[in-house]
Amino acid sequence: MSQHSDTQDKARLQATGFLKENRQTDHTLTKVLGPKIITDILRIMHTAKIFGPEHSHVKQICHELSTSMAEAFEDRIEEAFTLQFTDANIFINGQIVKFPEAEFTRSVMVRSMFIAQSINQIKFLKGVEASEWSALVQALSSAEAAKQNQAKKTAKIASLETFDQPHIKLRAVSLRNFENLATEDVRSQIVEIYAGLMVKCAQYFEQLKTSSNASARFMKRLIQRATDYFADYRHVFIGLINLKVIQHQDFVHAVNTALYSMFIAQELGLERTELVRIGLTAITQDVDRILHQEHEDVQEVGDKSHFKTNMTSVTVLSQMGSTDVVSALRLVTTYERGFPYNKPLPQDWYSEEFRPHLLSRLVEIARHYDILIQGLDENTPLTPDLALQTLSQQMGRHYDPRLTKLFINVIGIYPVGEMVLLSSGEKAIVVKSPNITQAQSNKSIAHRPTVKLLNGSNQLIDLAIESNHNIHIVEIVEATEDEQHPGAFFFF
Amino acid sequence: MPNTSADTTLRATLVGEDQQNTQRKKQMNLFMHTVDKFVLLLRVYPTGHPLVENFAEHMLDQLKDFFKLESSLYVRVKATELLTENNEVFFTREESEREHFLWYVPAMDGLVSFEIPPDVSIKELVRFLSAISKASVGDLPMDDDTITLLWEYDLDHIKIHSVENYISSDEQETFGELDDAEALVTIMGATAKPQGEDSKTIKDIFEGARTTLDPDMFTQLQYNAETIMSTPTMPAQMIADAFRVDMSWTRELVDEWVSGDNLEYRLLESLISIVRADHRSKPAIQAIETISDILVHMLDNTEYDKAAELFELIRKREILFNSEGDNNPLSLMMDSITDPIRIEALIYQAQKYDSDKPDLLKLFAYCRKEQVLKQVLTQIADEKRTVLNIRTLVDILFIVTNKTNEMQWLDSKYTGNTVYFTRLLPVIKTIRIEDHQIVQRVLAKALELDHEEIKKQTLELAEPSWCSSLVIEKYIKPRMDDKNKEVRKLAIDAVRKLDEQSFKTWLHQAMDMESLSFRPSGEILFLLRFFIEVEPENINKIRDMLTTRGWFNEKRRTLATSVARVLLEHNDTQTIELMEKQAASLLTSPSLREDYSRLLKQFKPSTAHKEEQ
Repeated sequence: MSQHSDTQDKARLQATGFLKENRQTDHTLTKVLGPKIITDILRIMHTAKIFGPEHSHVKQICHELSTSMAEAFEDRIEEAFTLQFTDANIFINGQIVKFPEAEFTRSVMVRSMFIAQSINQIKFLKGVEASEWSALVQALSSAEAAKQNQAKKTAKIASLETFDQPHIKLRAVSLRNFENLATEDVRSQIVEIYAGLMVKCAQYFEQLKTSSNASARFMKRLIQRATDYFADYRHVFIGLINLKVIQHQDFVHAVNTALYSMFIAQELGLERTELVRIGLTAITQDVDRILHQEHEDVQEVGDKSHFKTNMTSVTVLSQMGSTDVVSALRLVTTYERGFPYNKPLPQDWYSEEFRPHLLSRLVEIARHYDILIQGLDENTPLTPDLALQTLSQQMGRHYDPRLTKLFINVIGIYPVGEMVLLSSGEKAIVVKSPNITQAQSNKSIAHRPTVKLLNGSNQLIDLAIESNHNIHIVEIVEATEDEQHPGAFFFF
Repeated sequence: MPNTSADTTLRATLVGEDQQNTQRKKQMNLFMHTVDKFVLLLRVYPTGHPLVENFAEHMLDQLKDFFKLESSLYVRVKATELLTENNEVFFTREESEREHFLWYVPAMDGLVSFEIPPDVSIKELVRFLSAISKASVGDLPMDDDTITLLWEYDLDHIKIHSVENYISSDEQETFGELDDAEALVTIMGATAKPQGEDSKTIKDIFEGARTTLDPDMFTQLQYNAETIMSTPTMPAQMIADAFRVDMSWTRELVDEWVSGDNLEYRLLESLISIVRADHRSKPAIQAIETISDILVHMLDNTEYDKAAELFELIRKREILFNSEGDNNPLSLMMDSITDPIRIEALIYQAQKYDSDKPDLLKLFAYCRKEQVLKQVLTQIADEKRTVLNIRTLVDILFIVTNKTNEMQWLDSKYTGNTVYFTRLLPVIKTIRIEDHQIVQRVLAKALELDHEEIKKQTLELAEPSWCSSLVIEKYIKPRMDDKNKEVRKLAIDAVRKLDEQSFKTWLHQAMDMESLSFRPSGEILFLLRFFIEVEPENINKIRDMLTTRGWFNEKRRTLATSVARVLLEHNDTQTIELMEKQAASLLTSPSLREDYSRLLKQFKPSTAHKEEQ
């Protein structure tokens, strides 16, 4: 936490009358279907073992399974799901299935059953027929019987290799989890968090399109971890964003917006849990555009059409739930999206006179800044310094001036990651912006960040200190063809 | 080979280490059993309860011996067992006395290990275990698990190690052929080496790919407007000066956040707007349910002040759906929230808890007034129903009464019960009757009842604000001849105060000896005195009563003595003479003669003396 923030009490959103942290319970396919399908598979295999796979009892159960699976797909947008097995767990669509503890043993048995046959993935498509279940049972039973035969113990059983049903697909895939990525290196951890956020956000957006309930749990974990590093390494995150590893993608924009929003909030001295709320709100601030792909053409620009546009988004978003704090913040920020800060929202929005909520104003700056530096369509992206100056021109008209100033100081007049030419003739990379408290008390240093020379010496020069006041930044420069940007670890 | 002393020492060391290891595992096992019991306690008592704190202290004491040998308590977590740092099982699901293994869900959530140091505080240990307990119970919200919960609990000393515990889904196409793990590693590589192979891979995937950056139209408009502007580049020094941050206003911003800045209000407005768009649509139906859920939750949690604000908002916005008539979605929702049982509960709360009353009164203002009115009036008028605070009920009545429904106060199903008035009247005494027309009418109604106590109480409240000439004429004057003397007295007093002229007229009529004779002496005296007070020459008329031959006899003795007394009070010499004469006359009844003598003695001792003589 920056110095001046240490002296402020940690600020927490006032306990609201009804909003809980998150009241929405898990109705994902994983939760709803996971334990049930494992129990069903075990039941059918057990019955097949007693009566034989061709027996009418088995056929009866197959029929029941087919019906229950059809019911599971009803009212969901998923067209398929994938069951995955590892040595330790069972997953559906990449998410771990948590069994009621009493049923854990069943999961072990089913897991063993398939892994023994070198199958670790089963894809079920909508419309599984009873006959397909029957075929699966027969194939598994044959495979198990064949495995009893010593000679074929280690080979994948032919009956499973030739298994081919329209709505059930068996596969053996190479599965990895992320245990192996654990590292003590702080630099790698931070880079992993940023990269992980992009991957998980992309996955979340995909899930939103294809499933009824996507969980933001993994994004939340990463956002929490990122928060832990802000105090000492916020500048690194800014540098990572400025590397622009991936551009023009919605998930990248979402992650960047979330981070920028959290930076401003951190500078205000908000509590860590509040930063996470803000991050989660900001990262999903455009999900309505993902969920609802058809966008109306607006004929006449004005308050009414603005309201209508926002309402389309709000209506879509409301399906994701609204009675927890994050959902409420998300709904409200979407409701107020794009409205200039300096005038009260019209009567269509609120019967009372309200200006946009603090979070709406904050996210507006963050998202616009990111769009400016990413660029839209054929428009050339702006350099960070120009983007900041562009924002500043609308400060007081569209953007909250206090938040804008705070943002500019957080990002840095010369943002982290920029290559600059020093008055000494040397080139350097900006690695850290001046501390805001210092910048506030001494107005001449806000544009004097810490830079690292690119001459191979990796020498750090803090331009804010007295002894370096003979050096200043002349301009931001682009790397030439021969020059290589040193990469993320340079920021440390 | 013979055993050497080195072998013996080694063997002894190994045996000693084995024993130590066994001892360590035993201690850890014991600790986990204690943890199981502690978690049970947490289900019953809140954190901070002395029992919880003491038990936690006991748990830490248990570890004292352990920490003599070990620098920390390191535990690896699996779904059905716990292991030491060296992967030795020391506690299993079967051993646990709990029905459900406490560590099962945390393991599923990716908790790999935790480490408790010797200097952990009781508070932190309790926080850690309460998070585990909460996660273990299950049913955590969708975006939470053990790990996110532990993070929020902010543990300083206890170290947690967790993994993401998900695996790649090959359903995703965002990163081309790369699965999640590969995508992660590739992006990390690209950030580390912007010109490396990984960077090239990323470029190949995304260069030329359709942009998915698709902001809404108004954001695009703002973007276009900003990018076509020419941005004058400013010298850095000028920028630094222009964008200085004044930390005093950041405090204002923080205050805005902490105050909530009407978040619930804004949320409700956004939900109402969904309903406005198309109230029959599925999102609108869900929005209504959400609004209802929010309001019910507030009422259940006695957040009456906030609920009142939101009720007000709903009522304001109701007019947007006026065209729907009886199917106004907001009205229907409000009706379902403020059903009779809920209203009954709120009425009870308002009576019982003074602190909640002001907010509840605000709330009632936005409920269906007729319904509330009816329920309160019914409660007042039903003697079988307990009234905890009649003043509160009356306050509620005032809030919900309007010109349209006020006549309900006079409905015979209420006014027909005397308890209605016996409950209301004491309260009415304490309010400004002139401010409430309906109360005035209730009072008038009360006077119609044949109930002495009610009549008395009502008459005590007689005042110009509500006692119009009609009221006086129709309701009060008839009481001046009421069979109950107290009622009569009050009525007379009331008329005297309220309508002096009328009183005088009546008084003249009342001075008829026939009607006077049926009144008790106190009343006669009062009337006579007042009769003279009003017009002094009336004394002659009264005196004339004494002279009415044959009138004053034994039967009318009271009247006679009253008349005489009043006249003597005025030192009327003619009366004295008259009385002396009558006291001496045999035509006057004996008892009356005695009364006259006594009165004369009382008022005119010299006269009495003369008489004796």
